[in-house]
Amino acid sequence: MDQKTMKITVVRYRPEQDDKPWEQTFDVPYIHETSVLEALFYIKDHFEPSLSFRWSCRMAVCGSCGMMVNGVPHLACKTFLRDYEGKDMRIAPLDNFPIERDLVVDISDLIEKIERIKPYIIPTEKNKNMPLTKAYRQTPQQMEAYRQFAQCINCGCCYAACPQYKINKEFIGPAALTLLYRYNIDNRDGGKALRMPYLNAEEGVWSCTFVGYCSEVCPKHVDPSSAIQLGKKMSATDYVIRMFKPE
Amino acid sequence: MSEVKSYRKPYNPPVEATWWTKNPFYTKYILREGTCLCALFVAFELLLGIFLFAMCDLDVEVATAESAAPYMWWVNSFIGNPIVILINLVCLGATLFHASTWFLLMPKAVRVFMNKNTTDLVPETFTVIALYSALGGATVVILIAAFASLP
Amino acid sequence: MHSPRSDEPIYWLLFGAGGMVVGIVLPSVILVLLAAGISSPDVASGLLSFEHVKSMLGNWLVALCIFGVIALTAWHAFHRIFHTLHDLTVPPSKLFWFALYGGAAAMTFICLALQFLIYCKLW
Repeated sequence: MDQKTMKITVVRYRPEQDDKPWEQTFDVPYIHETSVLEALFYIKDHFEPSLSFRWSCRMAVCGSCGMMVNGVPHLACKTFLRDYEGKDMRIAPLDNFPIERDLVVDISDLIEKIERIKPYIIPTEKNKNMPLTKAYRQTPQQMEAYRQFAQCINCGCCYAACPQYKINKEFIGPAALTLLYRYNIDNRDGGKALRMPYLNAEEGVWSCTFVGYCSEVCPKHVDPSSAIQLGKKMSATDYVIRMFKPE
Repeated sequence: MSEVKSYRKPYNPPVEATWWTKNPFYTKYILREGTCLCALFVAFELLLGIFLFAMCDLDVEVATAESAAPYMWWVNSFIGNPIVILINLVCLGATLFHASTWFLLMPKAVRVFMNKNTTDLVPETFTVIALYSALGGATVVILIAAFASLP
Repeated sequence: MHSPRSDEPIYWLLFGAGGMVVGIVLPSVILVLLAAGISSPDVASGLLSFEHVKSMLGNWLVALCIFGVIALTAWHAFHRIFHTLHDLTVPPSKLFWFALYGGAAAMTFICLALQFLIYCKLW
């Protein structure tokens, strides 16, 4: 088997003894199929049993293993050493989140923001007492309208890519705003009026300056920056309507 | 309450003002935002021309070098100044760079289906090509209008 | 909880219109300025000569277009400067807000007043 070796630097942080993160370098053997996550398993098994990182499904579904690979947010399970051949690799915890230990970050802020924008279908008055099979039927186009924005796995890569979230932690951020927009344009949903105040606020879509890096790094190709620009159009339309027709 | 001592001590990395130099994508973004300084220069330049035109004596029947002196300074000594010509060339490059980034991102703000029944969206290239055509069209119209209206 | 509705849509719409103007119209405007700068016209003849500009500013449609280009470009530019200052981690302040958007409003007003004055005199 064609086996090579890569120099991998991992950022370490042990809260009980370190004041700030430091780096540790390992020589990791790899083959064509080795993912960054498997490289971390190798380090944990052979060199450093205390190394902490999050993972679960190993197939880009659970969204647990988001981390910075050479400064770019990636899912470790979906990133392969072969694509970095001839280079060194530096693995760091996701940017813009508090580092809990080694590669583990605290994403509770992201979770709170996703909860805040009511990411679920709120039935309309008309649909409330209808059988599910009647109330929630959709045409292919009605589903396609939001399908791409519904692929989010909450990995936090877009928050790590977002300079606005870096500078201002009040910003609701890419993933949560994308979900907000996704439910607002779902024709089965009746909760738009409840979500609009979050969209219209300063910390809603208006903190975004369309850097576009979130869409670049999203491992599920959700395109949050598109959802946020469409959300700006939605908010601006609502603003103009409310100028002439106040609530 | 738990009797176990917590060792939690989350580390918050400081935000550096130079974050945008660390990744070429961010550097390009700041460059894109920076093009607004060039746009602002052109707006000031035009406004200065209009201001100096208003300073001219507009009441005389036939304009003379004397009555039109303020404006003639603008057109000959200001925008004719080699340094200003150089700045204008930089501004031309900057506005074209702005146009390329603006046009490239525009499809993200336009998400329309081809017709009522399909699941196909209007292709991104369609929007981009339309915008470049608008740039080309506007350039042709303005240049023709400018040269056709020569006295 | 959420903060009150932002007034950003007004500035965003002006910024967006300005972005279109800068991308689509401004390159050819700069070309004309460059051509005029190199050809150095005199009072009565040549590109952007006094008489040429007089005929342009005396035409209400052309004058309105010139006003639109200057005003929207100013709103676009000052909006971007305001947000880029925030990007460069300058702490947000009301002072900057008033200075920058005030600048855009001032340019709009001055341009409108001057062009109106010129138009009335020429007419």
